[in-house]
Parts: sequence; C-alpha cells; structure tokens
Amino acid sequence: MEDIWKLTEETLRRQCRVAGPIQPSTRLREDLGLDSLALLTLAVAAEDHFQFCLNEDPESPPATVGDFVGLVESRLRELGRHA
Amino acid sequence: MLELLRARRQPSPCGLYCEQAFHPYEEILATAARQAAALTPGTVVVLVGENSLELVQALLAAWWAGCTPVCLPPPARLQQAGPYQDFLRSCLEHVGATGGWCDARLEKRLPGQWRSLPLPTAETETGPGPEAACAYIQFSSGTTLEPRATRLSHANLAHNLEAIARQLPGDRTRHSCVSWLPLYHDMGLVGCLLSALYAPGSLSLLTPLQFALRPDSWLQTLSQRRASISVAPNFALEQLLQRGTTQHLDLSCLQMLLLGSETIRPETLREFHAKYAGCGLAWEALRPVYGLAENTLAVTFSAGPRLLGFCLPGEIGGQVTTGTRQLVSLGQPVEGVQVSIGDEQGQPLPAGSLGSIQVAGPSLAADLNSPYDTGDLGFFWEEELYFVTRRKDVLVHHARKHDPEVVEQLVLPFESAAVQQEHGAVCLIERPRRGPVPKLDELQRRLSTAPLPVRAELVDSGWLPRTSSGKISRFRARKKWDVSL
Repeated sequence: MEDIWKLTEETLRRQCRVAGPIQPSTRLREDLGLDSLALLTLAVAAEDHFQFCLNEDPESPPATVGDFVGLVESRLRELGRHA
Repeated sequence: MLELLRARRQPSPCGLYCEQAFHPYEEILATAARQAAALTPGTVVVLVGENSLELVQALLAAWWAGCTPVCLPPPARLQQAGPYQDFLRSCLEHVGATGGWCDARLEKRLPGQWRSLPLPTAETETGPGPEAACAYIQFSSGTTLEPRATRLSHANLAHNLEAIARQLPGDRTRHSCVSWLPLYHDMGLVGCLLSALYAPGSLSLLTPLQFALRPDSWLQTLSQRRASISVAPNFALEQLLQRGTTQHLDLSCLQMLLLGSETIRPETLREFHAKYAGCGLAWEALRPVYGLAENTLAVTFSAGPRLLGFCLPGEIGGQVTTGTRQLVSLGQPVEGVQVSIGDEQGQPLPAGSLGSIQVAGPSLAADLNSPYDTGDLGFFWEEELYFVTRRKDVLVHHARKHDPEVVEQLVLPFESAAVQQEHGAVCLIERPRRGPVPKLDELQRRLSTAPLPVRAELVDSGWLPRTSSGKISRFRARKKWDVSL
C-alpha cells in the first residue's frame, strides 16, 4: 500500500507536475487538474512499475487519488500479489 | 497505393525502426501480403491502436487486400468511457462497420466486435486485390466541429505524396524521419509513414505515449539515428521548452522540422531555437506548414521561419497592413495545389485581403466542393500564406469581427479560450496546474484592452475541451460553458 502511494505521489509530482497538496480525497481532475495526457501517464506509470494491466472499469474511473491507489491495490490482490 | 507497395517489396536499405528493432520494408510487406487473407477485399477495415509494427502491418495488409483502412484513436485512460464510445460508434456507423481490429489490451473495452492485432499471418500470400475506390478514410480531430470523415482516393494520396517528396532537400532517398505522431492523425499517417514509404526513407516510429512520458525521447532518437526530417505540432515544442534537456544531443542532422496541425506561436519558435541552437539545431530547419486532411495533408510548405508584424482588419475582405501583431508565414502552396483567399460567398479576394483560405487541386477529396473552403481565416502576403484563426471561432461585436487569439494573448501564459456570448465575449481561463492562481480582477483588468467587451472567467485546470491532438476546441468550450450556465 505504501509503495503504491509513493509511486502515485512521485508520478503526480515528477511527471504530471502537480505542485499542490496530495491527499487520498484529492480529486484527480477537479483538484489536480489532470488532463487526458496526465491521466494516461498515471495509469501507465503504475502498469510499468507493477508489470500488470490496470483494467480500470471505464464506466466508473477513479475520481480521487485514494480511488486510484485502491484500484491498483485491488488489481494486485486479484493477481495474488502484494505491493 | 498498390503501385507504391509493389515498389517497396524490392530489397532496399530502408525500413521501419520500431521498439529498437529494424524491419526492412520488404519484410513488412511480405508479412502484410500473408495477413491480407484475413481481410475481405472491398470492405472497410477499422483499426484502433497505438503506433506499432502490428498496426503498420495491418494498414499495409488492408491496402494489399484491396480494402479501405480507417485508423481511429484508442480510448483515453482513467476517464469516463461514454464520450469515447459515442465517438467510436458514430465512426463505425459512418463507415458501415460493426467493429474491427485493435490493440490486444483494448479488445474487451470497445463497443462492437473487435479482434486483437496482429492480423493472423497465413502460410501463403494473398492478393494484391483490386484497389478499393476509396483509399483511406480520415476522421478529423474536430477543433470546431464534431469529428467528420474525409474519403481520400488513391489518386489523392499519390498526388500529395509526390508534392511532399518534392519539398525534400537534395536526394529524396537520402532522408530518414523520426515520428511519434499517431497513425490515426493525417500528419502521422501521410506526413510520416506514407511519405517515408514513398521517398523511400527509413522511419523511426515512436508512440505519442513515449513522447508524453519522456519528451526527450523524440529528440534523442533524432540525434542517435541522424534523422533529417521530423514533424511536430506547436505544443510538442512547448513540452520540450518546459521539460526537455539538451545533454548529448546533436541536432545538426535535422534539415526539416515540419511544424503544423495547430497555430505556431512566434515566441515558441524563437525560444525553441534558442534552447536547442547549442545542439546544432538550424533556424532554417524549422518549417511551418499548413495542411488539412480534406486535402490529403500538405497545402503549403515554408522554406524556413519568417515572422512578420501585421495589423489585421476587422472585416473579411479588409486589407492587411504591416503592424505589431506577429504571425508566422506558412510558405507557398506545394506543387499542384491551388490556394486562394475568398470572401463570405467564396469569391476570390485580391492579395493582402483577409478572407477564407480555399484549397483546390488533385489532392482534394473528390466529394468536396472545389475550391474547398477550409473554414480558416488567413491572407497572402508577398506570396506566402498566413493563418489567422478558425472562422467559426471569430468573435463578433457590433458587426465587427475579432480574432479570439488577440483576446487570449492578453491573459498569457494562462491557457484560455475566448468564445462568443450574447453581448461580447467570455474568456475562459484555466487555473494552472502549478504555480500561483491568477486573480480574477487582474485578468479582467488585462482584458480591458481587448477590442470588444470580454468578461474573464476562471475554470478548473483541464476544463477546456481539447481535441485528440491536444488543441483547445473553442467550439466545444463554448458549448460546454453555455450548458454549465
């Protein structure tokens, strides 16, 4: 869990150039202003790091940083892996 | 296309670099000819995916089989699927298809019947089939309108590819290109892949994702492969200005960096050159161009950057004079393409008049009126074309027309869209993702110098709708704003 949070925060800071506070309840689009390129960057950073396919549900994509971390965690759990 | 594909089946030193591996064109075409059996001649083949060897093979297999390929963008990640699925459904409906071929990871995520790329490879070759009447269907990214389809013939492609090849300096077979532009975009498909096959020259194919994650990868590949040609929109240069490094780069090999697809800002050109001149980037290598999918791709090519100051009239048909507003020359029409400036009825205007850019010639899609009104406003000055704005984006106040960019420039460096409202305009300004948030009264003060009444409004970062190629769509921004009121 800590690993996923660290990776997410690092990707948001370094690659998506987010400067403001990042909390689990921070909204990806509204608060951090991530555009489609930044969201893509976030998804691919997790996939590259954990070597899996995120398979997010396009009907209910993660809205907050916490949702995103939860999604990565549940995907890892499904694969029988722990971060 | 068949003639071109047959020619590339002959052994040559040219080919495609994809994910560090080199694939000679004759090998790719041999595979494509074996994959052609999976396709039904005369049908439309819809392809959805990122740039890859498999996608290139499928495109070439479609032409070899006598099909009409269509490349469409993959869905965005971590976003609501609805708008994309509507877009995909309307594209499928338009071409009369129920599905197609896609990247393996997308197979279960797209509406319709989809199979994973690569196409299955048979033991023996099929075809070549008789060419389909329509060579290719390009869906426009739609800055001002919903996406629309352009049907191009083999003759359109042949004419425009030859016109582009004639712009290459020196021996056309001695060039090589690096591109990360997507193959579902006309600049990526016609300007890079097909132009490289046509010249012929080698192409290093990167993906938009590679560029997005690491913009340096583009210039590093250029430097390592000693490539002489590349293509980019203005925002790519801005990405490199913000995030690019200059270490271990030798760009002295680059003879033509074609800049198109969106408005080229004079300051971007100057800053980009200033940053990379120490790496050997020649000022003359920066080549602003004008093109559109309806004309296959290329319309004008410049011989190098030319920045001039103008004073623009408030009316279509008015005379442009020299002044302080800097614009970038897009050069002269490529061979066989006629470009004229017309009034609101399409009647030709004298040189130096502001009007609609109209295009005619053998590269123009056959089902369009000729000359074709591009919907762009511009003018000719000393026989070179200058683009001003999209006509539908023009702001009207008291029957005078104003360019939205004049308004947007007042609030730089913030990203904004100036759109029409009942009494004047509203400038929708995005809060920046980092750095201080602009104060509304300060922005309003800056807008007081605009040539019409403009109200400043702040919107969340990422609020402004952008096209699949990253341009802000003023048309969609206006619709979105009107709905939100």
